[in-house]
Amino acid sequence: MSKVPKNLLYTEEHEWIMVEDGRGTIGITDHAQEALGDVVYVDLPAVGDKIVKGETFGTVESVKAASDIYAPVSGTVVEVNEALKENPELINKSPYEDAWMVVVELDDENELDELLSPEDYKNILEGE
Amino acid sequence: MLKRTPLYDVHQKLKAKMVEFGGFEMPIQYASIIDEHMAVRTKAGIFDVSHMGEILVEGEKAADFLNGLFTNDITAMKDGKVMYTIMTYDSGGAVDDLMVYRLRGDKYFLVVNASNKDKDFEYIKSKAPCNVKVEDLSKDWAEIAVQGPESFEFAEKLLGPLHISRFCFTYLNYNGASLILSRTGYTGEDGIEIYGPPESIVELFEDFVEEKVAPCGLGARDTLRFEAGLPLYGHELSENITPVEAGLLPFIKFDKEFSGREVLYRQYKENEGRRLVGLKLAEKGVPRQGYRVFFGGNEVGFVTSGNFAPYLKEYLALALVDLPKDIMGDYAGREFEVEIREKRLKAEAVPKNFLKAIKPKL
Repeated sequence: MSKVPKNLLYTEEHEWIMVEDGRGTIGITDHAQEALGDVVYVDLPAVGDKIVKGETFGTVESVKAASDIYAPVSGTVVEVNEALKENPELINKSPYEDAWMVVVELDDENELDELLSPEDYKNILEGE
Repeated sequence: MLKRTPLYDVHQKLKAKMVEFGGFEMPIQYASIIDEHMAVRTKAGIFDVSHMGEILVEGEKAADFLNGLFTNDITAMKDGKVMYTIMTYDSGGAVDDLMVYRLRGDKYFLVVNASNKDKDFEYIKSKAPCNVKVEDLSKDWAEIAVQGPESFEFAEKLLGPLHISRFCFTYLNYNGASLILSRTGYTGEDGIEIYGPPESIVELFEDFVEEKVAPCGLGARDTLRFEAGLPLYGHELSENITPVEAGLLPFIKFDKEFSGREVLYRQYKENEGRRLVGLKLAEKGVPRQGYRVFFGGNEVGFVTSGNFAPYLKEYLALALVDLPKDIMGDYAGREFEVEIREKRLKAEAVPKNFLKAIKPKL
């Protein structure tokens, strides 16, 4: 069973976000990396780019397929994990820690209410 | 309803991820495609390839008959030989690419792609004279491929001393069952392929896995054949892509008659049609089948296969391109571009056998 840490919020498209002081760190879930298989390339936005809730802001490619990453919230990118460009396999090894993708300054914290709790996300995975 | 190979339960036990391929439920990977790929490049891996089709063609005139359908010359074969060939339509397009085993001068065992098996069988049967018998044996035969630099040693450990040279086969009695073993494969490595009745093949697969030969799925099979520049039907070859366009000249013998010969000879002589080129991306990005390819700013073709090559650690593509005739056949080192999600990435033309042409990065 894939890991679903209790301190994060989730999307149905298998992204996670951790919010602290109006900033959100975003990545893809353990389930997502497992389904993708060996990740060989990541395309992420640049610092200063705007991302929009529900829209794609990047791509993860595994040996098998390309997969869009959807923004769990709207905001402005303030940090990008450059290490993923050189070592995309971090996404397989450490999806919740080393392989965070971007940090965004949230536009509207109310958007967080629409995200999935760890319990809800777990239920979705079990239903799949 | 998807078909299952005799190894289905073994795949389940090994926790393989299963996918549909050629009408079969097949393992795409057991753990990691890249790990499986590296196991084959550095040691040994084993594949269930029981989905492949086996067709027996028998009769006094079998050799001449088949030679009229195949681009390669099977009349040059001896008993115990295996030959790669393309079967072509009159249009020059490929019906399939396959391996021909000469069992006897009047008896040939054809190993064809799973997704083309029914089509191939019907095609061969429709062309066969009445004294040539065409039989579909696919249901009764299972097949495994053991591949990698140490594969032959592992095979000899389990089966005893084997004397098989590249592109040859031998029969082996294994616990009362008769197996066919050939020194062939589809990975760019040394290896053997083993054909036999389902029970024996299942037993052997498990024995190899017990010996720590890595079970490998179709994912690694595809990255391995791609890295070695080997064509895959539906990508580099098809009804609409001829073997001349796919750069398979060594397997086309123009000094004999076969269906499609005129078209293929013209393409070859006049530099007509498109050509398959190998491309090495200068920047990171994963080219996929169908992505557009540019040369000198103009769209010239499309990617037929592309991926990150796990052993060479490069982003590579095979692309079918239509270029001015004076450049045809002289693209080495030239700069192309591959369009990936609206961005054009630079790519250098390199020989299609990437594995031979490119030094692996450390």
